[in-house]
Amino acid sequence: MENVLNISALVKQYGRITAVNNLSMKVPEASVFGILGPNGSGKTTTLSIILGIVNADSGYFDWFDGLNASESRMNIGSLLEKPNFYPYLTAVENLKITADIKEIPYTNIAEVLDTVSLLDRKDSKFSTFSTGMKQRLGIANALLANPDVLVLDEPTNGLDPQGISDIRQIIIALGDSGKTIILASHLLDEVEKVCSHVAVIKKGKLLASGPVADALNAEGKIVLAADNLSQLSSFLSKHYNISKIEKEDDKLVIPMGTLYPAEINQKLSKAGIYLKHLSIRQKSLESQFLELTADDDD
Amino acid sequence: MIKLLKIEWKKIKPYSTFRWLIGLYVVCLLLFFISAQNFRIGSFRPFSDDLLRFPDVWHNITYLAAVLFNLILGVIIIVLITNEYQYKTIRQNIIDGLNRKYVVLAKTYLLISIAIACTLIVALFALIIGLWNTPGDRMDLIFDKILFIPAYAAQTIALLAFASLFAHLFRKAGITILMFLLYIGVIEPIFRGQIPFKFVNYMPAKSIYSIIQFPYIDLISSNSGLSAQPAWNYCLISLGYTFLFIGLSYLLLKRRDL
Repeated sequence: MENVLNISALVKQYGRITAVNNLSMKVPEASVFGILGPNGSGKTTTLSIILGIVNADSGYFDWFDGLNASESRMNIGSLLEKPNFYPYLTAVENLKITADIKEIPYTNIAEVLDTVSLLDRKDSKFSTFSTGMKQRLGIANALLANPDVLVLDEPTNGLDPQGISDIRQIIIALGDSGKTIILASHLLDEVEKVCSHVAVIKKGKLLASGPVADALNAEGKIVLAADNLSQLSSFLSKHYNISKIEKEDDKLVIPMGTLYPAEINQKLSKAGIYLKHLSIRQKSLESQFLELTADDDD
Repeated sequence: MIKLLKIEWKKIKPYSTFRWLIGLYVVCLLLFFISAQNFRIGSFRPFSDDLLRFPDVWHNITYLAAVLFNLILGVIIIVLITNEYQYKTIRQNIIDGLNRKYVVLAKTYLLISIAIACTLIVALFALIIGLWNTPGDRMDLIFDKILFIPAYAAQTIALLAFASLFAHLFRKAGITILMFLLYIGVIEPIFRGQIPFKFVNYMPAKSIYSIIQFPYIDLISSNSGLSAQPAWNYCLISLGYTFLFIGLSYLLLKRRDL
């Protein structure tokens, strides 16, 4: 089995809004697969469709080489959007219901509650939990059956920094142990830290996908300035094969590619052009992401 | 089936609203039948000793329970189902592995269980009241009208299946309870006045509430109440409706995005 999940040309419309627009992707086995996109980009709708609680208008998906959502859900642990539990039941009582649905014994309950640091509140009612504790219980619930696949929608939502760090460690450890994790997030930082693969979506459309390093490749730039900018610009385009020279205020920005700043500086000074500014700008993933998802009204 | 009932039981056992409503049903039954014998309108005693004797007691008690108190059970089912939508646990149950079909089946088994449990309570009350009030020489008629007990179970199941359809349709407790009561009390009676008479008896609320007929008719028309039996034709129609309501609930859930 190469791919745990295949999605092909999925479409879902809510009235005039297209939540998922011809979306196709493959989730490789044992990957930590991030679905990255801004709020309202269709992440949760996509996960809802593949878990079978929202019906797609068209398109196709299958799990584990040919299973539909209901056949595969027993082997998938999911936390979708907000954790939903019976408010009048305790943490343990809620997890017992999940255990019954998944047809597993109650022996794992204490362990997963311990994993998310909720063991001391196991007999408290869900309604008394804070947002972060509810989220932790949701994660415990997803882990309960020790499934091969985890689907986690914004798992660190509402957690404090310690909680965020804890949950990310759990996800990384699970990924290392060979489980496939599908993680939706609007936090680039999270995807970067946790995921091996990523699909960037916006307005329900796939913008980029692949291993994290490829999909979000971070390209450096060189920033230069001289007294005579037009002279500098014409020299650069004449001597180097530069695709694009951007002007930023009184500076020029060129893609770094294979260029070496010291060598440029040397050539320029030989030609009598003296730089008053030379720096390298390593493009952050953040701006890469923003650029990728920037509004393009075409 | 055992698995689904086990899950449903875990959901409702610690649920205080459920306990209160079931308690209310039992207390209402109890109070009513304790006070029935002394109940008077002026000098008229509608519940004469005769009505609380075997075999009529089976008929009278099931009729009153069906007409007066089964709506409490309907409210219970509505609350239990709309809770699943309100807490979004229906969605959680499904992504945890329960099929939509089993979601509807679980609630169907639950409503049947509630109906059977309440039928047993009513039967027990009828037995106690009957034994209390029947003179020794009439004890040979003790089981003569006992078929009203299964008829009561059928009436309750059909009514609760109807309530469950409303709950899946409206999803919010308040509006569902309102629409359910309005339908039974106002909408269908008005509608029945507009349609040809031969169809009237096939309307859902009409057939469900006709399984156990008003018991005093045979007391007024003849002195022998022995002939009165449950209206099996209505029972059959209601059974058909029960399947229809459950099927429609499933279709609603199947097509819905949760």
